[in-house]
Amino acid sequence: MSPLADLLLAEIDTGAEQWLGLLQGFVRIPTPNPPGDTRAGAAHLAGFLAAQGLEHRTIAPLPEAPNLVAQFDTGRPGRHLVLNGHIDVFPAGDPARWKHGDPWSGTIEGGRLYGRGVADMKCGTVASCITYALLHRHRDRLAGKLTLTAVSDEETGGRWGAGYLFAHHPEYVRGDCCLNGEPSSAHTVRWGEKAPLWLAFTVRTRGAHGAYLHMSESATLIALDLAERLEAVTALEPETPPAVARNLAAPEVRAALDRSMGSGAADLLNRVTLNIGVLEGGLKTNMIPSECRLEADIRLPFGVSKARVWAKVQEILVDFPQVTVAEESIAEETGANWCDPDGEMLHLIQDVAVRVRGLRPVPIATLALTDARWWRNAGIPAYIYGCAPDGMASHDESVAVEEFLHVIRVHALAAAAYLEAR
Amino acid sequence: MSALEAELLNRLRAEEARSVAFFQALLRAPSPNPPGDTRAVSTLLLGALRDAGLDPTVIAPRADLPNIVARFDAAVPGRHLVLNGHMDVFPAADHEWSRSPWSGEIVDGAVHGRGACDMKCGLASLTLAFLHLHALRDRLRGRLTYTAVSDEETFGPWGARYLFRHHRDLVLGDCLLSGEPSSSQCVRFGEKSPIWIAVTVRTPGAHGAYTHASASATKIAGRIVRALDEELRAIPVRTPDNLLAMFRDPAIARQVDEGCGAGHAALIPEVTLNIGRLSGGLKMNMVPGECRLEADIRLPIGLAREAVRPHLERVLAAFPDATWEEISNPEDAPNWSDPDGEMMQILRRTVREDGRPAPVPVVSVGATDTRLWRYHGVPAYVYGATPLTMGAADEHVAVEEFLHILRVHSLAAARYLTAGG
Repeated sequence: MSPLADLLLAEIDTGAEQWLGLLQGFVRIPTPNPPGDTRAGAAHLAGFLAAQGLEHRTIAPLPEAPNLVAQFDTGRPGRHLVLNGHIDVFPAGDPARWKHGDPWSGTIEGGRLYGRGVADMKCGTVASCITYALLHRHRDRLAGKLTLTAVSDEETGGRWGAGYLFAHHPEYVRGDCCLNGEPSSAHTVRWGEKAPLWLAFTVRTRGAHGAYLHMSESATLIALDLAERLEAVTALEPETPPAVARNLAAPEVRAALDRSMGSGAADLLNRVTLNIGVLEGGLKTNMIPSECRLEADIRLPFGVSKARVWAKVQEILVDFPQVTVAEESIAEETGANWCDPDGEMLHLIQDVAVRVRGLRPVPIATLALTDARWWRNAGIPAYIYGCAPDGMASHDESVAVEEFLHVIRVHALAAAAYLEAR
Repeated sequence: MSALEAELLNRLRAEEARSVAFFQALLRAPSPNPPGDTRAVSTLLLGALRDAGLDPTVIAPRADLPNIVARFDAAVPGRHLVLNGHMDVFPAADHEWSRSPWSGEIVDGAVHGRGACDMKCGLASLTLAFLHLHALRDRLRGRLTYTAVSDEETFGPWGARYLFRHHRDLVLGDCLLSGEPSSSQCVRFGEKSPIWIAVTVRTPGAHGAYTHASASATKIAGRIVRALDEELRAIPVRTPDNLLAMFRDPAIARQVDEGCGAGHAALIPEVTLNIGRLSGGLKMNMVPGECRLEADIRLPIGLAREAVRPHLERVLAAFPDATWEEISNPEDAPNWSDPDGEMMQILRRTVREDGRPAPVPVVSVGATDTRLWRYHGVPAYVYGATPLTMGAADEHVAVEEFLHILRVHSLAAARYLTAGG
């Protein structure tokens, strides 16, 4: 490790109380999405940047959901690294279920900081801001450019956040690499995500009295037949890219997947899965249903394009003239997103984690989506390293203070190593 | 045709416009069941009865589900005929209809609205027939009782079943005439019997991407439906010989299919399965932890429900994540009256004289309150609207058919109450 790394580690330790205060203040500002008003949260981060003497700007296509960006250029030719996090969080649910009676308490107890969104992902977003500030101090030792992006609608799909920046402000996001602090646990680093294909089917028939089977087909029976026929998508064989296949087959990767997502997860990562999330038809026991709604949640692995699954679904639907279908996932997304499971930034993250904590995070892909997909879909490598997802989307979400500092250390040192002038 | 019958016909012809308006008014009073509030309909019926100087009894064990009983005694003693109809109708999904399900509008010669077939056509007809015969009561013998009940659609405990439990002497009579749908091609003398079961599947549930983490309640429900279907198809039915001959008569089958839709006759001796409701899952991207289904199974004459229960138990025992219960009345059974009884003969003759082919005797695939009279040994016959749009969107009955049914009900009742005189 370079002298710069040592310097950064010392500064992170010295500033520990300040960093924790920044995170605690951020957690105490409710930014649930929906409804998605993140103005106060964005102002909190902007206040930190201003206090550090850092220029920044707000890009707010939706006034209540501002995106915060900051960028510096070292003046030396080099690469462009983008730090990305989000300001919005899951809704908090019933406050009474939280042990401090308030999802926005920011209480620190037993070495943990509690609050909605602290894991997903205020810990990571604050780590990005601190990384940006620290690297700015030492910009004379770096080459290339560093950009900070803190966006406001990750939880509802990203159209007005990361997606908007890609469409309208590519200079802030189209870098050479993206580092993101979404929850991953210190033990894994993430390089890819399966993609959802959400299809809502509606079966319509004439309907009739429940004893008059000759008068109408049954919308519920057709829906059940359709559900069974749709299982065919799970038999589609992925054409897995070699680099991905090597990763998925590695025993340490499979073990890490089963450990973090439950036994069987490693097998699922490489398969198309089908969940019939909703099935709803019929008004009354003794009527033949004239309408049934079926919502299918299909997850695409690496090497199965959405187009291929759509083609299979359309082929099945030829036998179901009573059925209409609409896609409810993002139509522009063509499939799973991924970058090199053996890429440079991934190795930097592993090396730093070994140095500062003696553990080597395993490179895995995941089942759920983050904003990292915007970068990966644009051909830009994006890696996720963050805290454990304790209590994520549930009550009593929390992060260990020590883990928060660990995430800052890994982000700051990996970013510095990526940009360090040679 | 007797002088009385001729006078009755004249009265009916003179009041056709008012009769149709009454039918429309009943359709404009929504009474979907569930939820089953029938007070708007009962208000109209009570008004008509009271305007004629009658003093109807309202029997309402639940205030929102009133039952109406009215009666009169004719000049001389005789037999007791009971008329029965129900005020509640199927629910309607508004968006599937071309106009409001409660419009009562006349379009292309047909009256439209939820319940037009089942059975506000028959209810309007029986009500008006009762009023006309009341006006002519001095020339009849015996007693005529009118019953309009409130929860036929759910076979609930507050309608006909309540009357039988608490007011049996009031409603039993010597013969029952019902205006449930039958089509003018058929008179129904018996019916299949429903077994309804509710099945609930429970699994742990999970995030929708984690299909390894939990079995899916909706997928298990699908397997249960397929297993039920296979099992029920294989159960043998022992149809009584005299009925079997009738079921197999191609001339009868042709007429049944003409009246009630192609394929109808073939369902009469079969076990059928309908999944009336299916409901599972909260959100697209969650593996459902619960799914509920309601199966509507119909038993033909010759298959006792005790014979079916072990089959249901066997199928469902194979699904440890499922629990189930019967939600129909466990005392119900397929039932029938004499296919050649007196009221059958009267109805056939009356229909023929009104210019239509004599209807054939048929067992209904659906169940009605008439079963309660048959359980008590009272012959019960059904003559009513063509059921082709029953339970479907844009349910309707031709104005001409309604007026035909009104004439048949009125004349048949008059003939029953004058026979032997």
